[in-house]
Amino acid sequence: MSTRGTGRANGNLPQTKICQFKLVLLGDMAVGKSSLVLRFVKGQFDEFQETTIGAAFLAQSVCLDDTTVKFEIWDTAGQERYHSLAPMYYRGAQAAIVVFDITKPETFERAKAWVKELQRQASPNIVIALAGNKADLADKRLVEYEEAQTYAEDTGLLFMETSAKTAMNVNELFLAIAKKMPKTDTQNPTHAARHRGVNLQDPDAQSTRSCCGN
Amino acid sequence: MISPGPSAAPPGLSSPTISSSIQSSFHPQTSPSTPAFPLVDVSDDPSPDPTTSFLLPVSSPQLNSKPSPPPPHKPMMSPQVPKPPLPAQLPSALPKSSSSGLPRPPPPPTARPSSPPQARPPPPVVPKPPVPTSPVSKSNKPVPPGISILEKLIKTCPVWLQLGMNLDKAMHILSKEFPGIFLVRRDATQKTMVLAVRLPDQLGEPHVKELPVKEEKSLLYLEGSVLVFENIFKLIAFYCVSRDILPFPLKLPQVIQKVAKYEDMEVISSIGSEFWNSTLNSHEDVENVSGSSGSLDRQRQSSSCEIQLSIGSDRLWYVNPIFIEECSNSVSPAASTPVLRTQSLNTPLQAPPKFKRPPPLRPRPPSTPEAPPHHVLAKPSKGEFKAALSSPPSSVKKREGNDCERADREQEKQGTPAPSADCDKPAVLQAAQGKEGKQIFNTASHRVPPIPIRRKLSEKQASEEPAQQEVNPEPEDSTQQVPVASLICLDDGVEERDKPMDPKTPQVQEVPAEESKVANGAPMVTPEVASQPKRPNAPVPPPRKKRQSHCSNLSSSTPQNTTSTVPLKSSSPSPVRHSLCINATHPKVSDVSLYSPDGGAPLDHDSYSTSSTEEEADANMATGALIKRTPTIMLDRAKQRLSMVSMANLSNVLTGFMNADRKLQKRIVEMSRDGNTYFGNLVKDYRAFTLDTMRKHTSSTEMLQEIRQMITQLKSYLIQSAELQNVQETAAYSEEKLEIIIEAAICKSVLKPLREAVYNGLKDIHSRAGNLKKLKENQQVVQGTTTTDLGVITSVPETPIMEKIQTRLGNLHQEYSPQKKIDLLLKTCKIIYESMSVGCPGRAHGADDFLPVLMYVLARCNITALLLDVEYMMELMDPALQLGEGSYYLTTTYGALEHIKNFDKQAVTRQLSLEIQDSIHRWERRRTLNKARASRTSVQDFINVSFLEACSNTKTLGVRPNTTAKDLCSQCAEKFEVLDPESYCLSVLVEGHYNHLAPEEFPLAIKSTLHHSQPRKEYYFVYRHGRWPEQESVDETESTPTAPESLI
Repeated sequence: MSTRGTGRANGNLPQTKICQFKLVLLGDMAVGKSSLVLRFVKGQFDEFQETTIGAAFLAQSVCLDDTTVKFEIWDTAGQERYHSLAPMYYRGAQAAIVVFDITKPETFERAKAWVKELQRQASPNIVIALAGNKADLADKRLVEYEEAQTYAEDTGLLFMETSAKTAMNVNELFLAIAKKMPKTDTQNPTHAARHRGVNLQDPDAQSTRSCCGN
Repeated sequence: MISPGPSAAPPGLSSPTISSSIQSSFHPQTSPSTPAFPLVDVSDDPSPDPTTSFLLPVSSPQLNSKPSPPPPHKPMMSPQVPKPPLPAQLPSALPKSSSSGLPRPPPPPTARPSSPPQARPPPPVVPKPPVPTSPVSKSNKPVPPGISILEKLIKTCPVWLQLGMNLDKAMHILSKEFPGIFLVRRDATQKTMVLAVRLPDQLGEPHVKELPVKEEKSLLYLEGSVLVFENIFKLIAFYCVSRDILPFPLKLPQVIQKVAKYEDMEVISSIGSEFWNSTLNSHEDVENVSGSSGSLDRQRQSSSCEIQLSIGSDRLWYVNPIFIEECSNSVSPAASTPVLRTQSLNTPLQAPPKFKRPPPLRPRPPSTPEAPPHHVLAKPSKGEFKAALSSPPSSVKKREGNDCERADREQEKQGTPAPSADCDKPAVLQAAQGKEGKQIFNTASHRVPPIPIRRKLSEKQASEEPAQQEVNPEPEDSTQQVPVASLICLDDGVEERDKPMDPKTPQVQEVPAEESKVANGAPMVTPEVASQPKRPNAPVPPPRKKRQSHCSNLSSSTPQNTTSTVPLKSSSPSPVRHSLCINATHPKVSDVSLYSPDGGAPLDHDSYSTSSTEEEADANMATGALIKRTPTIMLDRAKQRLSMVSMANLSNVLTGFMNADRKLQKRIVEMSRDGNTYFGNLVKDYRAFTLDTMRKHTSSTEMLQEIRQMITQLKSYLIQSAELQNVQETAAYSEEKLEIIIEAAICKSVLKPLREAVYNGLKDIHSRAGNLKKLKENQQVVQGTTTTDLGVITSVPETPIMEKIQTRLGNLHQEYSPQKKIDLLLKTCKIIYESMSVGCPGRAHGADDFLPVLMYVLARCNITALLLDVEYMMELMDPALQLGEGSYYLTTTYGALEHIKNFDKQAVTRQLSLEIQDSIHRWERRRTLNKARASRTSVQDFINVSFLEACSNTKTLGVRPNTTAKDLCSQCAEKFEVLDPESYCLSVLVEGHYNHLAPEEFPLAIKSTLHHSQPRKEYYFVYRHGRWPEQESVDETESTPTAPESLI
């Protein structure tokens, strides 16, 4: 095992590290969760995109200086009636983006509730980012930037106002999350196992699986 | 002769005026009965209707039946019509004087024929009583048996057939009669016959109704009725029996109804219209008044007729039984009494029936017992056949019924003359003589009167003194010139008909009286021939049948014609015969041609209908065949396509198998089935162990996790095993790819056989927990909610898409491989996404849109199977594989199912239990843990241990490399339920020798050593009685396995 592990390490040394994280989207419906993520994914280079059957699940990698971070983005239904299903998604997640609409104060209140629930039930080390979407509708703003900024700082959250339409702060948001993710996790045996599961040969494996599927 | 010819033309032109003047002149003379008769004759002459012309011979022969010379007088009568006023007075005196002189010579010849009928009376009396049907047909006792209504009508037509009577007189006569009494007169304006019927009194006043008698294509019918008849006699006869459109059947005067003798009918008919004012009619009134029983009988008759009619209305054929019974009754008595006089009487009334019946009547007497049944059998069949047809057949039936009555009449006539009294005959003779006197009176020239006298004298003398005939040759020739033409026609007919009627000819010739009567019938033949051409014009089926009857009539009349022509041939000129023969031949040929099509037509129709029916049947068969073939063809085409597709699939499969990856996977599967390989044994043992312990699990997760761990361990062993090196070819695989191939192979060799058992286990666990029932119930609730309640804001899959989704989920359930199941789930979700995009292409749908639609879909699928499938996939999928997308949709489907299962609670608290909320997290941690475990080198193995004896009661026990013999004994004691473990120990049977294991030895190492020994040895672990061996022996055994380990 140690020898094999060493071999693997040698194989990885020439390449950057690859870290895979599960990121969950939370927020009221119609605040633009899907649009935000789609803008992020489509704004990236094609070589880093993975084809998915729909927008409820998306995968996208981000390049940092010495590490490639791959996000598996799990969208959730914002309807009140499906609130109880959210724990199935955010438990075990390493990151979460809570989205609200700056033109609807009620969505900001809802976002605060999600943050409180995450801090109480999610992983202790989960990285939470607050996103004030639809910044392009500044003329209809009803949630002041300062108010959200203050709340985020007090709670220890990342905060950015974004616009899926204009792509404002979309990449910045995901990069900020990636940078904040604890890279040291790769040293963890669990992450090491994942590391072995994640390498450049995944595409081949997927093609093989698709053949089997056929 | 020349002088009468030109005189005939003028009278026809002026006939209406003359006839009216004659009628007016005779009105003051109504009191004498004699003048009434001439009125009838005069009115008949100018009538152009063929029916009327047909009636003339019928009526006049009756009146002139006894006087033999009436035919030659008729043509003379017509020329005398234009001179009625002046000669009327003068001839009145002359005929009287002549009549007084003539009666003297006739009596002698009439006396002679009367003797033969008297001799025959005894035979007819005997057969009458035995006929059982006769009493049924005889509803009235006074009505004599044998005389049919039709016959009575024919013989008494001078009484009721008043073509010259005006409306006022008819009304006057009928107003004094009882309801049902009728008269037939002619409407001067329309020139058609009219039926005048006495109806019941209305408001105390006598009521008489007139019904026009319409004629169409020589067929007669009452206005408003669909029943047609050949002549007025048949029409009236029918309505005397069946009312049809009348309020009740017609009635003949009671005297006529009760008449039992032909002589009596002749007396009544001689009175003519005066009958209605005569004592005979008043006598009827007296009888009616005095005889209350008679009235009762009449009521019964009417009631029975009505009953029959009501039945007949439903089934027209039912009316026939009446005619059949009458015919059968009349047949037997008539056959027994073939009286010559009867035949002679029949002849003048109706020539055709006369010619017909004599021949069949004579042979009937010997076959009397057979005659009735034949008739009965034949008639019902005909009736049934006609009944099967439509209304026209019903009318045809009635016609035949009338024909039967005709036959009955002839037979009755033959029978009735027998009982006649001599005193009646002289009266009739006197009447005949009176008629003769009238005829003489009608002749204008003095020469004419002596000629008829001479004929009669010549005929009589011929029978008595042939010399007298020779004395008067000149007068005979002159008189015969007129009848020569008609005789020649008869000759032609006779020549053709003699052949088929040979046996009848001699019988006719034997009787000289019949010959003279046949001669009288000569003019009858001509009108028949003339009437025949008209009949062919009628295309209606009924007329065709009539033609057949007419042909038979003509054939029957042949012998009589033959007898009449024999004595005349020598005197007639040959050139005249030839020309007439040619004329006669044409109508005969036309008859034959007309007959053959008639005969052929029904045959063709029958064959056509039969063939058409068969064709229809064939068409139906063909249609059925086509219907059957079409699906077959479609199936064949579908099969061809399927076979082509399958061929393509086969080629793909073969190509796939040719791949190195496929080849390696296949070899691994084969190795897993090979008991000679350690890996094969391991797989078999694991499978047995799993099946044995599966039932002990109370949690589905626990059961599935155990199976997953087994698969992971097998994969880990195989990767490190040398056996894999042997299977693997030169191709070098990366560790990741190798794991994928091995995962697929092990799933096929382990999960495929276990799939059924796993699902049964899952089903039992969830059923006991009540999850399946709860899920089912709430699925119904969700189906009842609206899409808005579910949060749907896009379009949902329509029926065809839903069916496609259900099919794919069904395939998912049948699959054993977790990987393939997940692929099918993703394909299903993709279908859902596509249906959501209908109407708004290009738009991306996130979870806000997808989850509500997924809920909608799951509520309409086999939700029970899917619940088990999701758990199967989540717990048995390879934890090492990064199935990000698969994990997401598994989680979403699992969440939706839990949401539906708790839908009732959702409405209240909108909260799922913390356990459910945390289920995914715990699932992910299990996967992480499994991945961590995979990195370990520890591999669980199994050892089969027998109890007491080798190969008996063997159990599979799970052991690890570090499991000691002591530990294994503990498992054995528990497994075999041993109460005193101290008395047992573990041994290995090798080549017949038991080797005890020391408590500290490792059984798995021993198994491995023995398994890989060369040559291989048969070994069995046995848990049996014994004590642990001493330390020295233990040391020895310890040293032994050490060596093999080092070798490995």
